[in-house]
Order: sequence, then structure tokens, then C-alpha cells
Amino acid sequence: MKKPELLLIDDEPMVGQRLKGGLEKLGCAVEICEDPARALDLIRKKNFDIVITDVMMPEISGMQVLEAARTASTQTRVIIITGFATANLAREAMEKGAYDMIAKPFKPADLRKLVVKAAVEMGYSDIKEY
Amino acid sequence: MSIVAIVSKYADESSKIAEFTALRLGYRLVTMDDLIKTAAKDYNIPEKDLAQVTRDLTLWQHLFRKKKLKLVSLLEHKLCELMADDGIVFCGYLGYPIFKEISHALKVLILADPQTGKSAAADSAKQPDLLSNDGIAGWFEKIYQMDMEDPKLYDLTLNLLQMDISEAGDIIINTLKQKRFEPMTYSMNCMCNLELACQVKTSLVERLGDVEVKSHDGTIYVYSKAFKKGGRKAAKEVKEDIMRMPGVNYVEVYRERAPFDEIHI
Repeated sequence: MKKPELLLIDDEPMVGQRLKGGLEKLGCAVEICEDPARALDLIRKKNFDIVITDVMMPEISGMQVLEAARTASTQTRVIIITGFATANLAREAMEKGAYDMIAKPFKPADLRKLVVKAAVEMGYSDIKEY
Repeated sequence: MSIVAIVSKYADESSKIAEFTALRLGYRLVTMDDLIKTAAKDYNIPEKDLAQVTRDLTLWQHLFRKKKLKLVSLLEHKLCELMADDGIVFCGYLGYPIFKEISHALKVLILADPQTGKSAAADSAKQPDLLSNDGIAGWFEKIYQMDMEDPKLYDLTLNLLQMDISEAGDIIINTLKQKRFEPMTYSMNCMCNLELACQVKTSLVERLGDVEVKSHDGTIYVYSKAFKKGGRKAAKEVKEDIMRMPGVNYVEVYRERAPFDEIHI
């Protein structure tokens, strides 16, 4: 059974540590990346089904990650997670092809729901919220 | 579905555009009158009182200002509730602070021939329960401390001197097709936060007067200069009262105005 490939990018290590287990439990193959520059390399080398990215990161922003992911594959669903959410940022993200956006702090279950929705849309029918 | 908010001091023209747009999109049309009627019924308040507070600007100079602020707050709360339904076109001059926070709300300003204003002013002289066009702009400025016709407040400004009603409606419908106006988890959560903030503000405004409320995921932030006078005791009482409201997990109170740009209503 093929698992959806998921990349989670956040320069704050705690975020990845907190979310990884839950996302794997859904049935995703999860890669965590704290360095956005390295994340861009990963995105260019491998087609991820779902990319979850923070926005405010040193040197490279989540918007750049979003653009890179959508350039690498228009099929990739990019979910934005940010502590600096505004209506303008949300609109910019949607215009650049984001799948969805959640403001931090959020409940991990809310993110999992979004991941399930995205994965099911991509044809991963075995994935479901626990 | 998205939300269209049509704001204008030209009530006749903007309501025709709103009607056209709602019909073409299959959205529900909500006018100021609809809002007042629904709020009056749901909150068991005389329709006359709600109508008066949105129409008679002179009353704001007098006593009972806090009571009037509460009625406006109730109308904004009702507007939040109505927006939770799928797809609405709202036409009116109330609720701007709510729309500005919702990324899937397309905010449209309608400009028209100022001569229309003059005839409307004459109409309002005959019918004192109606605000003139300038009266509407004055009301907006009084309540929201903003110039209603400042294009920076809107996503789209349409001038009816340059187009007719159906062209204006078509532009709104085409603009709404842009991906940026699609609802998303963030904007839907914003609506829930705004609804709770409105509810809290309604419960406080008669006590505190000018108060701003922000809400995020059950945490409530209250900003009011009134806390300076009452000190800790007043703040404690407010906190306790808000904590009893459904959906509230935590309350913080501040003695200053909310920071600019932050979500508050």
C-alpha cells in the first residue's frame, strides 16, 4: 500500500516533533525539515504529495516554499501554518496555489483533518482520521 | 461559498447591484432591513429601536450612547451569524470591521452620481426615518472612525458614472472567481472567532462603553480604557462574566486600545 509522502517544514523543532507521530498514525510517510533551504532541495528532488510549511522562517519564507512546491508539481497540496495569519496573507497564499491555511496555535486534529482531506482527494483512500 | 459585502452611501443603486449579484450567484441577499428584522425577531428587541440606531445620527450626540453601541453590536453579531450560512451578498453600511478580517469576503464600494445624493436628501427630509446619502457616510465615520469612501478599505471600487448596474454586477461576479476569495480553514475559523468576539462585545458594551474584543480559538482579549477607572476589580468581574460564556476558555483584559491591525471588533 502506497503511503502519501508528506514534508513538514518549520524552523521551530517542537512543531515537527509534536505533529510527526499523529501524521504517521494517519498513514503518511512523514519527513520533517527545520531548514527551509534544505526543504527546497528536497522538494526539487522528490515529488511530495503534501507539503506543510510555516511562513516566517529565516532567509526563506513559506511563500517561497509554496511556489517551489507548486512549480515542482501542480499536484502537490501545500498547507500553510502560520502564527502571523492575516486576511492578506491568506489571500496571497491561495492565489499562489495553497491548498489551505491554518493559524497557529491550532489543534493537531484540525491539521490531521486537512491532511486526510487532501490525501483522499489525491486517491489515497486508505488514509483516515483516527 | 464566498461572501460579497457591498458598501455604499447610494442605497438605491447598491441594493440593485446586490440583488443582481445575489440572483446570478444563487446567493442569499441580506439588506440592512433584512438584518434589522432578523435581529429584532431573534433578540426580541423592537424593530423600531434597531432601525433608529442605524438611521438617526443625531441620537448619538445624546444620552444612552452605550445602549446604542449595544444595539449596533447586536446587529454585528447577527450579521456574523448570517454570514455563517453558505453564500451571502450583504448590502449595507454596517459590519465593516467584520468583513475586513475575512479573506473570502469580497468588499465592494459603489460610487454613483452625487446628484442622486441630493434627491435622496430630499427624500429623507420627507421621510425622517431614512438617512440621506451623506448621513450614511456620517454614520459610518462616527461608528467606525473611517471614511466610507476610502478605496483602500475595499477590494473593488465601482463607479456607476462609468457603468450600469449589470456591468457592475458582472465585474463583482468575475472578481469573486479569483482563488484568493475562496474560503479556507483560516477564514472559516476567523468567522467563528469574530462571532464569539461579537457576542462578548455585546455583553460588555453597555457596561464599558468603548470596548474592543478579539477572539482566537476560545481565548478572548478585551481592550478598554474603562479598566483604568475601575482598576483590578472591574477587570476581574469582566473576566469572570466572560468565562461563563459558552466557547470561552480563557480571558485576558487590557487597559489600552487593541494594537492596530490585530483582529478585533
